[in-house]
Amino acid sequence: MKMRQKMVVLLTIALVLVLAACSTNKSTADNPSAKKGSITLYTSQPEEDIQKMITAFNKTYPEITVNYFRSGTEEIISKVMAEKETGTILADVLLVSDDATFESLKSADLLMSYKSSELNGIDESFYDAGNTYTGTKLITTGIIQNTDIIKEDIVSYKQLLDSRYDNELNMPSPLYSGAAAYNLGILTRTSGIGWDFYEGLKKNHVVVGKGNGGVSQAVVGGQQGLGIVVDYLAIRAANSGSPVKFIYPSEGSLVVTEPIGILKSSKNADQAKSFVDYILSDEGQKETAKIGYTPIKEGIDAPEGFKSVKDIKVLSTDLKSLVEGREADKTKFSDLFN
Amino acid sequence: MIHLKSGSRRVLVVLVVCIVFILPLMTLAIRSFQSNAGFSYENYALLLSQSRTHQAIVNTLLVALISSLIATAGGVLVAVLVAYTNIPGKRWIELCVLSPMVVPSYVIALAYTTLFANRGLINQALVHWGLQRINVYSFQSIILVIALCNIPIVYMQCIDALRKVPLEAEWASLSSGHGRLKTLVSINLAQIWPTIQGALLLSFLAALDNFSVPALLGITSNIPMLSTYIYEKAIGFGPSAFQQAAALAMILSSLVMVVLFLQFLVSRKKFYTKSVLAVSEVRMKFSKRGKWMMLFVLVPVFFGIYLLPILTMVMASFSRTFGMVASLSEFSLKNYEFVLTSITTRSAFFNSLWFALISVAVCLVFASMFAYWRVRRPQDKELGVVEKFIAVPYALPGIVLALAMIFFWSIVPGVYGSTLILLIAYVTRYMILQIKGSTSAFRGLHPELEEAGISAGRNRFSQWIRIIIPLTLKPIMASSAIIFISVFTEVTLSSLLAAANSKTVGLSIFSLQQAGNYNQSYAFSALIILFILFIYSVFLIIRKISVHRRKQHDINP
Amino acid sequence: MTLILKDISKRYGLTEALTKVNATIEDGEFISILGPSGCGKTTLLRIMAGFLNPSEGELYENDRLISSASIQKPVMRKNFGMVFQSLALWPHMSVTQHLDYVLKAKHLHLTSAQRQFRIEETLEKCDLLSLKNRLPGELSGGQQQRVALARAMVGNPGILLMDEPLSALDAHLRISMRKEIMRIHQLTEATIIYITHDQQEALAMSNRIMVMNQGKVQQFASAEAVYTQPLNPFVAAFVGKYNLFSGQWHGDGFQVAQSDFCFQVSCPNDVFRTLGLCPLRPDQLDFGSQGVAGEIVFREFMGQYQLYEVKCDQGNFRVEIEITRVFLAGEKVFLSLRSNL
Repeated sequence: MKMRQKMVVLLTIALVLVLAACSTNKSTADNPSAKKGSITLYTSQPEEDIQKMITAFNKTYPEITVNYFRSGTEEIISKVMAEKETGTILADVLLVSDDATFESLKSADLLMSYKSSELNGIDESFYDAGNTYTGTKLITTGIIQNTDIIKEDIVSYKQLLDSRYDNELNMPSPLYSGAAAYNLGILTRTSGIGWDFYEGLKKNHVVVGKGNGGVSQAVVGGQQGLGIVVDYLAIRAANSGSPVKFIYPSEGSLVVTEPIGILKSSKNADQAKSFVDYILSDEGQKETAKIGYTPIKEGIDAPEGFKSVKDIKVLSTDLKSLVEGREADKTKFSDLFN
Repeated sequence: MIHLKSGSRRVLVVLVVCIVFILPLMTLAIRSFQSNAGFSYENYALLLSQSRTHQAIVNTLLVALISSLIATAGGVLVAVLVAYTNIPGKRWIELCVLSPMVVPSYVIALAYTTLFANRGLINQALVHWGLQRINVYSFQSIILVIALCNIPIVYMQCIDALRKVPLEAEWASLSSGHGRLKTLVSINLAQIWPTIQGALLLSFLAALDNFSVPALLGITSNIPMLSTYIYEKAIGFGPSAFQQAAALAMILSSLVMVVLFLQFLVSRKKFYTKSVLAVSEVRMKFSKRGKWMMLFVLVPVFFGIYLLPILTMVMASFSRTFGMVASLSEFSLKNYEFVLTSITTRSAFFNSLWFALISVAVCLVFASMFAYWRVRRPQDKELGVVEKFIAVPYALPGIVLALAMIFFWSIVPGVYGSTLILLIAYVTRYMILQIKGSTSAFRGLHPELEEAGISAGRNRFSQWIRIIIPLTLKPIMASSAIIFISVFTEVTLSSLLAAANSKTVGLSIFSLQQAGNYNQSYAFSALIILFILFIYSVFLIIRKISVHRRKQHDINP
Repeated sequence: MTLILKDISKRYGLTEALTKVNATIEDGEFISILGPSGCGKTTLLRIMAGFLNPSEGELYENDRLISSASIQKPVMRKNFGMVFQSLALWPHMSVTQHLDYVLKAKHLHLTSAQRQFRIEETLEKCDLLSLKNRLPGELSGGQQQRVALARAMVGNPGILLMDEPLSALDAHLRISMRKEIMRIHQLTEATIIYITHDQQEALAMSNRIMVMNQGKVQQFASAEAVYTQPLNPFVAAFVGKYNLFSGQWHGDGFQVAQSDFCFQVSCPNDVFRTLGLCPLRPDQLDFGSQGVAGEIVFREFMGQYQLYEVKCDQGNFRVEIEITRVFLAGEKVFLSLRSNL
């Protein structure tokens, strides 16, 4: 037994060492220099987009590793809340869809106040007074149309309620996508649209997927002919030759700014700040446009096919009622569509 | 520690096992009764009053019942065909039927979504002929895909049992004047009836545990099932969500307990048979015409069920836009480019690989020690109870275990959110598989063989290398192979336990699909299938070498 | 129904399990197939039952060809009972269910009441009444054997095939079951083909014995003939436990080699003449004043006689002597013919 037990002990020690090595949470590699280290980013941006942004970021900051977790906004927030429950929030930076989401995080006192040096050129309305979050781009929600399937002109949301579009509609779920939740809040509070709009969509058997990616794929691929979706997905698809076009609805557009914010509990605040600075910098904004979004900074051109903010009719409501009503809105939506 | 007294060693083992395998689940149970007001039934009361919960329970039970009936019928049928008849191409049939053991269920579900895409070939044809489109995101699809994934369970159990029905038992029936079919039903199937019942229950359990198929096909079409409902609650907002998830997990677990109890009853009813060797003689011969007719029916069926969906998925993975590759102009390697260069998919691949290797190693070491102990000292009765404890995390659904892991291991700092918790979860879940494999391997090893080695003067170490390992390698490696593939393709535990730096293959494919990046999920799935096939061939080669070496050393028990 | 085997051969790969078996089995005969393990008895029985095809040759029932190498599916005779060496009981059925299952065969056309009656009758005959609801797993070896027998008999088959049905039983049970089988034969006049490796059993029960060795039929004749007139040395040694002296046959006797003694017997047939062997049973020999010289090495008390093993120049031979005369090991004796032959 002696020999075998010796072997066992050795093996166990070896195993423990191996485990310890591979379970090193990279974010605990603390380093005083702001140019070195790693951060954990939770984002609702599509994978390809965030990877391109990180690659560009690393050109300027090659020593900062960015580990990211990607999911729908609502799921990200739940994850952050769950982590808060268990005591450790793993995320350092959040980059998710809309203001209202950040407002609720702010009221839970989870955000760090940081006034970036790159705020010049960004309109005041795109960040909060306490500097806990800043908008990074402009994303509008509108209608995507597959022109091979639907030949006629579509101009408004109301048109989607026509019975001839039964089974041809697709939309993202407010239970997953922050932008969709934001839209739900605003549209239901806009006279002339309201909850009736959603009930009408239900009558036309609208497919409620998860995120905007699914909607875009579905319409591009011809599963359905029409969808409610964020502009960049539709416009990028149209630009690469898919038979789709993006419509800014006549009732107005819903605009979110995909803000970025740093969590108060972050142990990598310096590195996180560098990341925020980069996103808001000229290079970062040029990269944003290059990837395919309307940049938020003045002086940086929007890419082809995108309207600039001046030309968009913006629908909005007061932020406070949006924030307070979000949970109730989601529940009502869930009840309606179950 | 080297010379622990046997008694204290046993206490230590029991303690460790309880902590690792049982306490997490107790924590889960306790949490389910927690609410803001302290200990109460509130969570259960609330959930059980909601129609969504009723729906989830009903759906889960229906899916489990119908899919296991279908899986059992299909599995027995194919097993009879392969074990008893002379149809050609048995190897291919077996390969197809067993493919869900290697191809993860979410890949199969994905493949079917491509095959039955709304504007895919099949649905286009149906519409053309004036028929209804087939919606793959439906209740029926979930049942059928899960059934397909569980047929291997039934097949493996039954084929061995079928082969062990003695030829003479059939002859005794035929000689009395009964026909071939009656003999098959009254003698063969009747004799393996307990095995069939056991297989039915096993596939029922597998269906209860299945998360990825309802997740892929049921979430967007709003078909609530307990496993995905628990997931939704766990990632949902709010403090009570976690407790509610715990309560749902307990409900699911109680269903599992009932089935486990039924299993226990059935397993005691095994009919006495003298220990028989399996016979592979053909018992039911088809005529030449009969053989061709069977082929005519079987080939398209098997092709359609097993190969066509995968082919469709692979073709779609080469498409620039969503949908099938309509023409060459749509052909693109873009998706593969993304998968092979993206940080997420690459790290997911290596994470899963790493997890799989470490899990296998840890399980091998501890399970082998435990199994050796168990077999050589049958007088330590408590080891039997300990083994049952270790089996619990495997018997319970994965999503329940994941939740338990979160509740329990978040007490220890640095575990939740790191790769460690996922590793602990894998080892907790799959340890029992290695124990079972190693136990049967050691049981087959006669103690006299080892004693002969000792009496010949070799020391313990060379005894292990020369005698024990070569003789037990095959069954032990079989378990390791299963654990490797299970951990590598796993998605249920990852869905709740993976952190930003520990994404896994299964989760990656799942997230890509949920995010709408279908083509990329197809590309990744195709690559993973290739990799699994590669690993499988490696294992086959290792086995061949071990058998060859055994023959060389001429050690034959 | 007459069973005719014509040139039946069976090959497995390169091994010949059966070589050119020819036989005619008349209706109602009790035939034993006797031989050592591996001589092909079970293979032959399976061919006769229709479970195996011969590689060559044909099997006829009366005039009907029922099995040959070319027939894919040999005709399964409807009316036969079979007892397997492994018993092949159905573990999921009780004793009664075994019998009931057989009787439910369509060609029997029995009503439920008739089945009931037949089952009770058979159970009683085989002394299984008290065990009728037991499963095979709950029965002892001997009880299982009786069930196998009952199952074979219950349908009143015209032909019964039995593969070493009594081998697992103890001596007592074997003898009583032997009597039972013989009684069944008397009552039902069924053809019985009975495999055994026990020559005593074969001699006691059969009309004719087919002695087999290495796939070939050595002799197929009545019990007496096989015992008293073996056709070749194998049969002689296996059935009658004959001693085989080597030497030379000439006109009036047999000159034993390495001895100047001559046995005054006539040569049974050309095979022995050519081989130069003289078969003599232990009860045909005696210790005399002259004969083949030898020394007693063993003595076994067999109850009715003493069996002595005598070591001679040629080899060891066995002699039966009445118990009243006692000889001791080491004594020098002369082997000669017993005078009252």
